Amino acid sequence: MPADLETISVLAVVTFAGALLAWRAHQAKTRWIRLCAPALLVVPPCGVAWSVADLGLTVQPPVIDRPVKVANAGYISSDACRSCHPQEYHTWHASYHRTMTQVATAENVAPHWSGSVQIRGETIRLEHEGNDLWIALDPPPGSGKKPIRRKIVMTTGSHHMQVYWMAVGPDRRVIQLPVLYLIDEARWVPVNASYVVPADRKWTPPIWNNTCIKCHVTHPRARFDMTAKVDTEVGEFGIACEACHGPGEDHVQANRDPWRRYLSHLFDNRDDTAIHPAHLEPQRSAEICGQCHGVLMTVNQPEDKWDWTMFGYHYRPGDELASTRQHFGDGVDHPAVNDFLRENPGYMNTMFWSDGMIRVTGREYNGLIESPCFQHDDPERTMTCLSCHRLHQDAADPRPIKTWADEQLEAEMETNKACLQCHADFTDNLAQHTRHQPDSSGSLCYNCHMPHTTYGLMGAIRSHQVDLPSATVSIETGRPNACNQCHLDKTLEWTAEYLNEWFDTPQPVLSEDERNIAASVLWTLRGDAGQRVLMAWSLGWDDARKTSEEDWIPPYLARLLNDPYAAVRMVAYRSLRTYPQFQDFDYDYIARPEELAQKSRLAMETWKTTKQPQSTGRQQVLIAPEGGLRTDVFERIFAERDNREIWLQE
Amino acid sequence: MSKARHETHDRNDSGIGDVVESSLVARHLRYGWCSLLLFICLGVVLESLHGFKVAWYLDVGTEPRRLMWRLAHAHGTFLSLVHIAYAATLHARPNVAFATSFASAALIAASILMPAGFFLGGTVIYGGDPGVGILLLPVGALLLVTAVLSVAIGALRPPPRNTD
Repeated sequence: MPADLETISVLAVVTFAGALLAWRAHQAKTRWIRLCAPALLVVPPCGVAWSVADLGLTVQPPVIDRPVKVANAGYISSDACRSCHPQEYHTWHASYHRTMTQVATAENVAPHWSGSVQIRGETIRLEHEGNDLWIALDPPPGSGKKPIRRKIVMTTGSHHMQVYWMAVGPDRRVIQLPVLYLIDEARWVPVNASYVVPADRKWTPPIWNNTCIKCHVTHPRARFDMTAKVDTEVGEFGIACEACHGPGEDHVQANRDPWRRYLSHLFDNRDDTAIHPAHLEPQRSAEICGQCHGVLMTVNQPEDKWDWTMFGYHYRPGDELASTRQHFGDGVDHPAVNDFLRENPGYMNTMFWSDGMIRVTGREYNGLIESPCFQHDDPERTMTCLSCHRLHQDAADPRPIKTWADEQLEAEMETNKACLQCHADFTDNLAQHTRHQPDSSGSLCYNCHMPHTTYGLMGAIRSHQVDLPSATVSIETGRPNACNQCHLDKTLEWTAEYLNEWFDTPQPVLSEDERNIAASVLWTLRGDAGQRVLMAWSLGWDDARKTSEEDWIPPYLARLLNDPYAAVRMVAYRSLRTYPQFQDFDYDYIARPEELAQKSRLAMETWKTTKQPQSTGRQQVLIAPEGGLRTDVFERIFAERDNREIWLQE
Repeated sequence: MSKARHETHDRNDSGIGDVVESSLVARHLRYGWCSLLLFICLGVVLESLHGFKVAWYLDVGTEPRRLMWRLAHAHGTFLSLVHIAYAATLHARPNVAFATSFASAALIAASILMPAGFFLGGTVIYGGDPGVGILLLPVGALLLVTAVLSVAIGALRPPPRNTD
């Protein structure tokens, strides 16, 4: 029963009881009891009303302007899990899965909700109306845009950035605010300025109810029909217990029986009323994560593209995902996928490298299933998400919960222990395999086999497709290889020769520039926006800087400060700030073009005046013998920049 | 019940009952004060666990342990006071319990079983559930109800007349 109905019921019962007592008192023989009658009529209901008001339990008006949480199809929400699973509830509660979608309140929005800020001449005013949050966007005078003032009803994200959703009425349809908040930078920016997307691409505000809802809540039911009222319901906002463990109603009902619970505790009986992903076979376990962390499309009846909007997805944790959804990828031949790609020919480029490797974050399942560690037949040694990730921090894990929540990795899984679980034979002869010092970053399995070739959230993220470094693949796909992403000052030829010498990897045919100029230089100056943004991150990566004698790097980052893509500029600025002489460098990555160019020149000048003496005679990174930048070659390569439009769909 | 009541009166009248009841008074006073000391010490230990922020007591995952041990402390302390009150009652109203020895034994057993049940239930926990030691609790609770009921019935009886 809703809280307001409970309050009304209690009030009615108490009033009735008070009236009954008042009537009895009125008929009493003793005078002073008769005198009490009016008090009995008034005091009890007043007392209840006062208590309710004191506890803040005022009767709430029904929510009509945003999606609502409704129990359905056995989904009863995490509220039912807390009492029996306090540790699991606590760690989930601290995770960014929980806060992926939230009802907007003053407590859970990232910025302090008051005052105003300016973005490109537009004024954003953050306002309150009672407990509700409002936002007003006043466009610059003469821009021709209309002012907007909307109630903010929901948020997406709470880790690196936060997106806001406005009520647009008259139903539960909500659309995205054109600005978002970068939590790391503590600033508002236009939505387009936070993604790798061409600057002139027109941004159309997405409708949450048929886009983000699919993965950002538990048990979504869009109930969306373009011709009728939108009446969206969710099992729970955010990704909650039942997203991975299945609907909880049967489990809760069965475990009200204490005997059942204690038999389970004492004899370690598996409870078949809930799914435990770690107890499933590897494929089924990974598919639970894959239902959201994958590029998939619904393929079979009844889970077609309209059915789910009314009833939610038919997939339940533990089911075979392929029975209702098909993943995209190299070599996938499915009629529905083929039809879709015929209608959307550029779709694969927005998410995959040309060889079919996933290149955007949040789609790690596609990388996992293409990995040899996942594809072999031994279930004991099959890599799944849970091989490295732990969705509930272990009670014995000494790390602060915030640290765990960052990547949700199991303790020490950021080290070689992750791979040595299966590849224990490398434990004692690591250097023999890696050809690097055992304690160096070159001997960290991840750095060679899961390099930072995925983009997302304004940074590079490790690929989740376990792979081998290859100069040939870099030439064929444009994807940076692990060697040159760390040895920033080395050429593709250098990489090809070493890989050939150490592992018999065939050597590709290389151009003159590829033989003579560092690969990172070529990707930074000549690459497309997808390569440039990865290089902008790599040029600030600690491990790479230590390996590459970093003093030559700032001019390249300085050039990226004037990149046509806002995300490239932002990532470059973050990297540049990690160099001592640029710690306080003032730069706004969404400033006007002339200001961006001026700041880029200023950064270049700053490097010239502060560079160290050892920055001399390094031909591969275009440092002339006298220590200056070889601008002729630098500009020649820059003039060859790949300017085709790149749009990465995170 | 009437026969038992007469027997109690007879024993009181003969002086044997006085001896029995004075030894019960002494027993419950001893038990009450010693147990009070024990459970106050447990309270100090629990507060120290808070003071030193001991994870296996304070962490969210050990919430049932914290609850169980607090209940062990609270019940132990309260039952110690009940023993002292029972001793005082016996002293003031020697005929208060229709079956004094049983009430005394039941009260002592309850005072051991209930805090022990809570304490053991908190020592091993299963997620949100206490350990199987908690099974001592209902037994102790039943004995406590029986003891208090017998004392309450005795208290409702009129005091014996002074025959002198």
